[in-house]
Amino acid sequence: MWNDYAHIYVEERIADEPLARNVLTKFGSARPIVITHYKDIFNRPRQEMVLQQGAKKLILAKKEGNFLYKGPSIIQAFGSENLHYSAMVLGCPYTCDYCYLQGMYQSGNIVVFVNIDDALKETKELLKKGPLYVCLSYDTDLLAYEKIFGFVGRWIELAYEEPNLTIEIRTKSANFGSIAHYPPSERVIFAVSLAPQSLIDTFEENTASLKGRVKGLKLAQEKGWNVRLCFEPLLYVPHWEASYRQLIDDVFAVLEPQGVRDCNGDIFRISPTYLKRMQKSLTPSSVLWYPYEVRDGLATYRQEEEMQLKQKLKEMLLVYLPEEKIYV
Amino acid sequence: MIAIVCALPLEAKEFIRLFSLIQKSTTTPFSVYESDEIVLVVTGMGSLRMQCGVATLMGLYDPKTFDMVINMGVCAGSKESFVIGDIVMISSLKGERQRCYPDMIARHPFCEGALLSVETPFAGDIPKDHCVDMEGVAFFQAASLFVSPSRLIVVKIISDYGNPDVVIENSKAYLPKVSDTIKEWIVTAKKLFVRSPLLSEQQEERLRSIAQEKKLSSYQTHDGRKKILSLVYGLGMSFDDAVEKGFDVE
Repeated sequence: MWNDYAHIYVEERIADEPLARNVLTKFGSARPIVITHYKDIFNRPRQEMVLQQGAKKLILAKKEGNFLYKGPSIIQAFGSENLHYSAMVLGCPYTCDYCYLQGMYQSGNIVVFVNIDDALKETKELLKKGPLYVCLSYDTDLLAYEKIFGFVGRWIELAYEEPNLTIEIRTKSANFGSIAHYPPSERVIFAVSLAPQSLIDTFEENTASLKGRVKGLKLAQEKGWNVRLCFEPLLYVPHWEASYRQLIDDVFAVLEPQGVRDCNGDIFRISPTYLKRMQKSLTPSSVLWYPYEVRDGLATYRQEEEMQLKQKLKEMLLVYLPEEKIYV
Repeated sequence: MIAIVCALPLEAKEFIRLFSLIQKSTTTPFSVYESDEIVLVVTGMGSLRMQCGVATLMGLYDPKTFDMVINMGVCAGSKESFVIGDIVMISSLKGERQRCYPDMIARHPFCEGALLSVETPFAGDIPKDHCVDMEGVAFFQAASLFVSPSRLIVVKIISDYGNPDVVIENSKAYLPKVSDTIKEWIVTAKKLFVRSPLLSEQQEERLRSIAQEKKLSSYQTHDGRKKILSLVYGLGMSFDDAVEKGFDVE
C-alpha cells in the first residue's frame, strides 16, 4: 500500500497558487495529479473508505460559497453564543472508529481548501454583525496539519485583530508546539480531546498518545494558555469506570487545575444513517456494533448508561475542578 | 476474485498462459477465460465493445466477488516520458467529456501517467506523461457502475509513440517480456483488496438454514443477522450464543 499522501490531487485552477505550490514542495516525493474539481474525486459514489484510509490522498482545492457554518445543537457551546464552525479541511488525518465523518463523507481522502484568505475575509464581514465563536477543527484536526498549511496560525492572528472573535482549536494531536510561539489570548482556546490510553489504542488510530496530548496541554499551560479538556465521546466499554478514573488522575497528575479554563464530557451519539453506513464498511469495531438505542433521532447509549457515564465523570472531575468549569 | 479486461486477444494471450486460464463456454459475443481465482474477458476494440464486455462480465459473475478489476492493454505513450515496453499505472483518465481517477491504493514499481481515450487509432505527438488508448475511459465508466472505483485499476504497456502501424509488432515483442512482472504485482497487490467478511461462509450458511427452518421473512432474517453482529462484535458474545438470542423471534 502507498504511504499517506503519496499522491496529491490538485485542482487545475489553483495549481499555481503559492499555498498549493508550497504543499507540493513539502511533500517532495508525492506525485501531483491535476484534476478539474475536487468533487470529481471526493464525492464519487461507492468509494471504499477503508481501502482509501490505508493510503490517504490530499486533494488541494478552492472553496466556493460559505466558509463558516452555524454550529448544530449537538456541539457543546460552553455558554457561548453565535457558534459557528469552519470547514477549511474535509476529512481527518486520523481514523477513529467512532467518527461520524466515516458516515458523512463518501471518501477517506482529505480535501484542503487553500483559499484561507477568503475564509478570513468572510469571517471579518460576519464579525461586523456581532461576536462569533468559531470551532476550527469541527470536521478535521486542523492542528495536526499546522506544519503543512499554517491555517491555525492565520486564525489566531485574526483573533488578535478582532476583539469579537473567539476561536476553539481542538485536537487529538500532540502538536501544540507548532503554535506555542503565539502569545496566549482569552479568545483563543486550546482544547484537547482526551481518552484512556487503552481506548486510544483500540479506537483512535494514528492519533497522539495520551502522554503526548497531556504534554501539549502542559506546555500550553506553561506558556500561559488556559486550556480546555474534552472527554468525548465517553464510551461504555468494559471497565469504563476504572479507565476514566485512571485517565483523570493521570491528567491532573501533570496539569495545574487552575490553568484549566473548562472541560466537557459527552457520550457517543451519532445519526443512525451514518452508523448504518459505517457498519457497511465491515469494520468489526465494538463501538460500531454496540446495541445502541435511538433517542431524539440519534443512536446512542441507553439512558441509564448515559447517566452512569456522565455522573461518574462529573464526580471524578469535581475532585480537581469547581462545578462551574465542568460541562457534562 | 480478480477480473482482467483486455480489448485484444493479443493483450490477453500472455495472461491466459501465466494464470493457466481455461476458456469458459458462454453464449455471449465475448471470449471469457477463468480459473478459481481469476476471470479474464476479451472485449474487442473500441469503447462500445469495452462497455458491453464489462457489462457482460458483471452479468456472468457477481461483481461483489471481485477484489480488483483490472484493464490491461497496450497504448501509445509520450516519447518524452516513456520507452517502448514500459508498464504504466494510470492515475487519471480523460475521454471526450469525462474524467476518471483510479484510487491508487496499491504500491507498484511501474511508471505513472495520465490516459487519454480516443475513438479511433491515434497518430501524432503525445504530451508529456500521457498515454493514449481507445478503451480506458469506457472500461472505468462501465466498471464503476458495478464495482467500487477504489477497486478499479488501469495498467497499460507502451507499444508506440503514436504510430498505429507498429502496434501489433511491438506488442508481440514486448508483452511476453513484461507480463510476468505484472502478474507478480497482481498477486501481491490482491492481498490489500481482499475483503474480510464479518461472518464466515459457514456462519452465514448456518444463519440461512435457521431462517429457513423458522420460516423467517427476509426482514426478520436481516434484523436477526444485525442483532447477531451486534452481540458478537458490540458485546463480545460467542457466535453460538448470539445466534440463539438474535433469532429468538418469539
